[in-house]
Amino acid sequence: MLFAFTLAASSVLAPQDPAGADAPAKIPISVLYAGEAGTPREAAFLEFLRQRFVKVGNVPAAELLASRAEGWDVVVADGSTEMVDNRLRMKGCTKLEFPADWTKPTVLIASSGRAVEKVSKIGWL
Amino acid sequence: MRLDHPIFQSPNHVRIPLTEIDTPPDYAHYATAALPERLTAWQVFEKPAAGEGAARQSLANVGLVSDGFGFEDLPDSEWIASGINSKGPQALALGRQGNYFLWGFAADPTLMTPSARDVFVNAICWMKQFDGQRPLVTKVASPREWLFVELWVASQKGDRAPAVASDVSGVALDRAAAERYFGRETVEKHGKDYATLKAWLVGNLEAITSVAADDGGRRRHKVVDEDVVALGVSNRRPEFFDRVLARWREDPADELCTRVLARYVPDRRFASPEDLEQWLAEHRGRLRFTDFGGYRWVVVPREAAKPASPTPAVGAGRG
Repeated sequence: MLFAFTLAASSVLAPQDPAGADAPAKIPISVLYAGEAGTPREAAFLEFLRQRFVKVGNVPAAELLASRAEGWDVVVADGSTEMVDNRLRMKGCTKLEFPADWTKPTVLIASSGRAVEKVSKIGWL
Repeated sequence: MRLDHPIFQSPNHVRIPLTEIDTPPDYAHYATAALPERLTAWQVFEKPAAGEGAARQSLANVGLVSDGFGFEDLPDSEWIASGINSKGPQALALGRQGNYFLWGFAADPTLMTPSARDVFVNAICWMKQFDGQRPLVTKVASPREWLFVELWVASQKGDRAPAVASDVSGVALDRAAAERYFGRETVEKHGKDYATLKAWLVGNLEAITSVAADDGGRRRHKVVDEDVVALGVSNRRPEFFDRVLARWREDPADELCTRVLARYVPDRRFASPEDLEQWLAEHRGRLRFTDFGGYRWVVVPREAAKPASPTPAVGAGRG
């Protein structure tokens, strides 16, 4: 039985590939990242995606659904949660509710999965 | 974890470093079979060391798993991998339904391992082909495999691994919990004790269905459909229709037949055995049963019945 898992590190982060060193050719797919605008997390995703794909854009999570991601091949919908004053606060795409007619290929990062629980089998267990 | 899935193959052919970890002890009551003591696992990301920043240490780095039981009931769904989580070995961490792919891990790319970064890219590439699709069903009911977890609760955790046969003769029954999951009628008839209740439910797993609770709310109960028991066939195997058709032909006035058809094919009314036979001839190859979608048979649209394509060879990727 095989499982994906995380390992609590006791030292530094995993080393990154140096920019430009043995960099793969960029993939001709357009990717739209939607998350919390202006955050280090957004910056990290965008930097990485731009290394790998020919066209990468970003939109604040709150604007994603209205945009319909027109002109983009795949959406990366990102969000997170945190406890604030003993209450769960949702951020980014975690707060959204995707409509039943959303047909754009969408990769849901972590808690963003709850955004499709009314229109799919995916959701917070 | 399905290492043969295209997200591990293309466009980046990823070498997945595997290691062994101890099976989390609380997995037992979520499992539908006996578990090994050790699991083979793939490291997806590393948590930052203490002091790397409050934001990273916060709940923001908690991932999400989805219900994995029976997830592949329909051809638009792919169960790819679980992850270490609080909901058991079959909970879904990586998977797809329709145009949605769940990447359940919360780490940003700076924390992902190199192999995980490549798989993440592959997943994005994999998804491009599902443009225009949407999920075939939404979640209406919890799959019947949850029965084992519910029995664990009803046993007050005395039955540590309900899916594994063991002597439960001395295990106490929490009747309130049992009624919450299985309804008062089932507990009254078959809940003399925990062992009797378990035998009734597990012994009739293939006849389990989900019914709305009497309270008018959203709660549902898992119950044994005694009509299905009388049929002597699983309600989720294609032989269900053969058995119903044969019985209905024998007696066109057999109300059991019309009852189970109304229950399990709610979108269609069959006027006669001949009507059923004709419908089966037309749709048999695309019939699928879904617990998630309400314990019913659905006819999968022709385009959804086609297998997904291998990820196109776009870009050079990593060798």
